[in-house]
Amino acid sequence: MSDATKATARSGEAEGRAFEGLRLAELRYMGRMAASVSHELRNNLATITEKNGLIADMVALAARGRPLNEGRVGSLAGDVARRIKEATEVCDRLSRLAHSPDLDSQVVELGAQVELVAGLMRRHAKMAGVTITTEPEARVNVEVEPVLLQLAVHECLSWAMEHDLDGAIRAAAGRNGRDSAVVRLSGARWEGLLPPPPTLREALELLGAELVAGESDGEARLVLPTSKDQRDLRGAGPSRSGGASEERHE
Amino acid sequence: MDNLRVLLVDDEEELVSTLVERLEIRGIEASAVLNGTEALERVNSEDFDVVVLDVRLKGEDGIEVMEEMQRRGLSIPVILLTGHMSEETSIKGLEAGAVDYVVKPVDIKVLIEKMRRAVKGQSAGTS
Repeated sequence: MSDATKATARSGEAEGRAFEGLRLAELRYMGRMAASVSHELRNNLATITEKNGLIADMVALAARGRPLNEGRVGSLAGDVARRIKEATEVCDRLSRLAHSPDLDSQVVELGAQVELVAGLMRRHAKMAGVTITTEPEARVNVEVEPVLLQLAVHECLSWAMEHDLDGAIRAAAGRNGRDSAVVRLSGARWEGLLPPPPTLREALELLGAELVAGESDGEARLVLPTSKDQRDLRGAGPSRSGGASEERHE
Repeated sequence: MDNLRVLLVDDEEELVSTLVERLEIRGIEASAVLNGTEALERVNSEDFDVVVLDVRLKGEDGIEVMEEMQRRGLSIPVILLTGHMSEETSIKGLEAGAVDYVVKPVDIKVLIEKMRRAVKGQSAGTS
């Protein structure tokens, strides 16, 4: 085997390991988010169960002669409706998460993807005493592997949660010139994430994206091309093949 | 049973406040706190027959809160409340000294039965 062939083989092996590491990171992200969603759903169901149970208790007491507080029953019914709406939103996020790996590459709205990840992380953020708010600056479509984009945003927000400045993380998606988009992240100390660790670096390379320090303290910018063509022009890492199914789940 | 005093510890405020009302309708004196620090303060200063403690509190581990109660010599039976059907967490909690566990959503009849058994077990163990 020639030196050139050996070098190519070594390069291929390294690339394979990097893709494998990234695939594991994606699986960890999906698993972590699914567990969090499950917990959120369970808390909503538990509260709905108790509110509904209290209404039943009050009706049973009324049947035994205690005056029924109709205002209180109405309020409890309103609480139940609100928690059902919240649980439905959690289910919607779970459904969007589940569909994320369906296609290799597709056009998605960046702000909606950032909002999805922030929503999925809401419980973790609450447990950490941090709030994540998303403030879309402008609607912008990007052509990406959705799960890869979500992983990159998740990694950035996870870092921010652990290195927050004042418990308030903000993520704003918008345009960055004609051919690229940006997620402005603020409210954290980003120094340790620049340059990014291996998993995030791999994800950014495949997205043709870069994470750079922002213009003000506590701000970082995730800049990515809006189309596959732009990504190729920037010399992004090779796309993955064969790792994603086009089968859609209901 | 009428004089049973229970402390509920969970960061889901709507959940515990409603559970308190439902227990009180059934003649149980129930209080609720939202974190481990408050729980430790309450069990230090008041008498409770049983504590129902969420394993995952905001920024805290419920099992560690229970262990802190034990370190302080408080022998109140603890029933763990969990959002997960995680066998490992339940076993870890029981090994750490919890008398039982319930999984959300809670069936109030089951919870009361478990509280009754926990108090009886405590009485039997200390008599």
